[in-house]
Amino acid sequence: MTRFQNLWSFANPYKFMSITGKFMPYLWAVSLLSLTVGLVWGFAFTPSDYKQSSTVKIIFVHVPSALMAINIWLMMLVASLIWFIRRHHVSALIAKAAAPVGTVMAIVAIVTGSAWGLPMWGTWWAWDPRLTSFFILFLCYIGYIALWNAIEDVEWSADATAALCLFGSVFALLSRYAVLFWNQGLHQGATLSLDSETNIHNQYYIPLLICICGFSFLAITLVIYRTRTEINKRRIEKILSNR
Amino acid sequence: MKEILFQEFRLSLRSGGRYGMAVVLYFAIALLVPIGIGPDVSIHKLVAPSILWVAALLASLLTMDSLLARDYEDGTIERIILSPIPLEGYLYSKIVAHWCQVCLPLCILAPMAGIIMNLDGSSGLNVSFSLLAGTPAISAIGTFGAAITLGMKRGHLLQAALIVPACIPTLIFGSVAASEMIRDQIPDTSLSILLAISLASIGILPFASSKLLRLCLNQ
Repeated sequence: MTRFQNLWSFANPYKFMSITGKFMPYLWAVSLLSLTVGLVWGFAFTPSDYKQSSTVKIIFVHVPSALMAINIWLMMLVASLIWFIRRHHVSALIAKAAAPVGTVMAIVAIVTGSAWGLPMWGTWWAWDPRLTSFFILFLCYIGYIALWNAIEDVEWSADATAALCLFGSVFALLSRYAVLFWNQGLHQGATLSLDSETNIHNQYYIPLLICICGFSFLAITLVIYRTRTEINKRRIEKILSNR
Repeated sequence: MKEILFQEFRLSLRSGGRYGMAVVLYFAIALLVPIGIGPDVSIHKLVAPSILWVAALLASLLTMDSLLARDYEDGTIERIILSPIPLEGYLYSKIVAHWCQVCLPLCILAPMAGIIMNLDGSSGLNVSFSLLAGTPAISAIGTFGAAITLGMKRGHLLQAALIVPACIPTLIFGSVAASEMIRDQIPDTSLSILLAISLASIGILPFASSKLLRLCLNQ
């Protein structure tokens, strides 16, 4: 690959478009394939849990989407930092394009979580630390998208939203620890860590890993796809305004 | 900078007590919640510190709508960027003015509002103490929200929507600290974290907002 020397060559919209244009079909294929395999395996070929019966299978959607909702916010944080430091428009556009994807992931995680919570905990929603901080993350996404849409000037809105992203990250993290203060966790801890003794059983673990892969690839694909759309939209607006 | 501060006080006095709204709202919430709950005194005492905190938060958020917007519209902020006065100093005087006009009266009046909710005097003082520790953070966060939404036609609603998630930690630690003090526990952790949030927000956010304002207005 002599065509791009380093990562920053992606900051050139033209290069970004040409390189991602080649990868897009493969990305779609990989994400759809792994999602299909993971979800079909998860829903059809895993046994029901003796306590939770078939509701255990919600984990195959709930965990990956929650993971993605958090990771996409982290990605937006990095993209906002790059925008502030190096002023690359592609970076700001990636953050803009990622926000709705993250929002949908958060909604999916909350909806599947409450669908599981009603039979298991006996309630749709509890003001549990994890749930509360996730809800705050969701609010941050909504505010971020609203701010992008509210300001006309392109650079200005990129600045304001990047500042909001940094600010929101600090306070989202703070809320994460603030709600732990209540100390009434209903949500179980992580059962997926690599070094833990009490991991989830392999029967569920492998399809879950495939699902996480599928959701990750789907998120990456959607974000790049939406970024390409944004760049195309900018180009069209530029052409139209030059006429 | 001192002139800006005094100018703020004069403006708010002459514009017919725009900030009196905060106090009215505060008492309205403190009156309405007991009516909504019903005459059970034990519940009132249980929820009073939290309700007073929520009321203070709402009252100070709702008076933030035109914190920077008017100065932006008539060009004051651009003049200050060009003038030798530091923009940070301008923002600090804005925060101090907002805090003195809105949050300080709420802190002082908290025991009175507490009486409505059947809190005795010393518990009311505890609530005002925790408010005193936490409300500077709210003023600073609100100013940052005003800076973010500056370029918008009708930014007030969005500003409130952006600020609310950021105020959640302050609210949690503030009401926890107040209830702990009322129950005669020593509010070590909660109060120190509350003070830490206040100090950090006052120390960092005005600089962040002035950086943002410079970026946005110098284009």
